[in-house]
Amino acid sequence: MRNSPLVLSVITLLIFLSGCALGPHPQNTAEFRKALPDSMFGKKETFFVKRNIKQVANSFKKMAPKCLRKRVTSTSSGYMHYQVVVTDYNPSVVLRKNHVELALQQDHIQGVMNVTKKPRGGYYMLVTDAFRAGKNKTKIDMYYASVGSDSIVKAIKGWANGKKGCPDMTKL
Amino acid sequence: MNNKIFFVFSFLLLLTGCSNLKTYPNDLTKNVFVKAKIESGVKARVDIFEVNKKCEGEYVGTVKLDETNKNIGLKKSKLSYLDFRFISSGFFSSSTSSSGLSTLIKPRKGYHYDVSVSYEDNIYDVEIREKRRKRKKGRELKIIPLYECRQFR
Repeated sequence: MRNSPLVLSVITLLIFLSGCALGPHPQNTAEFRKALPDSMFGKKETFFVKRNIKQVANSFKKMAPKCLRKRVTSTSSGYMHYQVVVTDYNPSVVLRKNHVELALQQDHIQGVMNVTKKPRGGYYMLVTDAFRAGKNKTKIDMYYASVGSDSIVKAIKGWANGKKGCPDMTKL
Repeated sequence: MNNKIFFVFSFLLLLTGCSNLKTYPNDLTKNVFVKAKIESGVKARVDIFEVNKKCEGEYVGTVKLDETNKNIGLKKSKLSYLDFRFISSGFFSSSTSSSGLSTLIKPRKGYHYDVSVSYEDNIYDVEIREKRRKRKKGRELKIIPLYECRQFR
């Protein structure tokens, strides 16, 4: 009982963590869009590009599989520990009438314990919608975590504007 | 003292043993012309493999792309696999990371290949253009992963 304040602190922390972090993860892009504004690090960004929806769709179709379908292995080591995390990144591009959806999922193959239900293909980390907004104008909505998505967001913005270039997936 | 020298020697051996890279012989007629624009702190290279009929790659060698304009000779009408790598080191840590992309390529007779490679601000690009001799324009080649080898042959 001498350690009761410590035990209590640990229990409180666990309750806090379980309440904060163990909520269900979005199982599809619609749930991801809905859940993101309420999350601590979620961000939605909207902008317009001077290209038609077909051009944007072609850029996404070309660049997403080329750049985002990757397996990344990261290792970290220190005193008495050595950890290897293997993550597969799975992009998808869905074409609809006047709407293109680009989604990116991350699937931890090794080194990470999945404590909530994982959607097929991995947890969603980014969704980008492109909507026709005129003859040569497209509206882009991006939903992503404000931490650790910088290079991916920058690359996708570039694709929407007709640029090329792949994000370094080891720098997330 | 001897122990110290042995330790240092062993460590150096370990370091050299860890790196299995060898320089690409590059003794064939040059048909691939690489222009690289790489930011400082990042090292770029292309590992070159020859691909056999079973779609297995055999490592032939590496060309460092840290300097601009490298001319490479690949076997004509034979399948090769080019693995472009960008290696950067952490600023405050000893960790290194490697990213990049790889593609199959089958150089054709009478054609050459202009490759532009860039890495800047965590964004990289590799573009390969196939051009007929004396013609300025060419076509951009699609990146073809190794698992598509059988369809590509």
